[in-house]
Amino acid sequence: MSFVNEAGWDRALRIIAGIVLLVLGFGGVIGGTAGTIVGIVGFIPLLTGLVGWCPLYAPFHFRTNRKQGATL
Amino acid sequence: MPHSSDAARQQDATHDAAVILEFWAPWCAPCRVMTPALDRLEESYRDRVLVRRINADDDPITVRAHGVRAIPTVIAFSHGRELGRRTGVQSPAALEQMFAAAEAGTQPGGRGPSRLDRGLRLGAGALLVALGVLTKPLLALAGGVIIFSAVYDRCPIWNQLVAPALRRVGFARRRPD
Repeated sequence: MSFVNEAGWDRALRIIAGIVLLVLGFGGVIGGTAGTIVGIVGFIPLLTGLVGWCPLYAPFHFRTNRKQGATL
Repeated sequence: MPHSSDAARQQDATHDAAVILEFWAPWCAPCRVMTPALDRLEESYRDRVLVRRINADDDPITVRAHGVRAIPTVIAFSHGRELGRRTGVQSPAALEQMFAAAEAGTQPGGRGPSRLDRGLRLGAGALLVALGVLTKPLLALAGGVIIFSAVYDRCPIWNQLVAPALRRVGFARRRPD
């Protein structure tokens, strides 16, 4: 059974959101400390989108992708 | 009702030259998704690879004997030696890798990232590199690492040097005995 709990569209949205936050934070759109924080926060959706696993989904056994099999 | 003799027969069945064991159940929808591809491959590899379909409901002894905990599971054998297994719905290409491996007596090819994974990583990495070039070089470095993670399985240096080292320290996927 795969540990991936995000569908393709979920992962794409996260990656886009992460990139946007990184641009806002590190691209100078939001300056100062706030920009750094926004940029760092942007890594969270980016990484969870790239990996395909969301730690907030896991405790609730929630997934946006289809189950790939059944546990016996 | 399953009998231990059924399990013995199944165990014996894996000692043929090339065998694919498929564990399934009637209520398993993902199993049904894989059925057409498995049927096609069974026909293509007729007389070269023996396919055994194990109904998990009818034969729990064989399920336990092979350490199967989820279905669908496909296991490739050559002369009784497990070459590799896959759990969950597999693409026709991945299933064909299993059949080819069983016939050749070799390990199934490395999976590497899926096409979706490769695409997402390449896209995100490229965007990060572009962002990093314009702002912080560290982001470009992160983008480069992400791009590499999309294609690492095709890097000969990785395959020759890093992957064996990772296997030695136990970070690689399980290898058959």
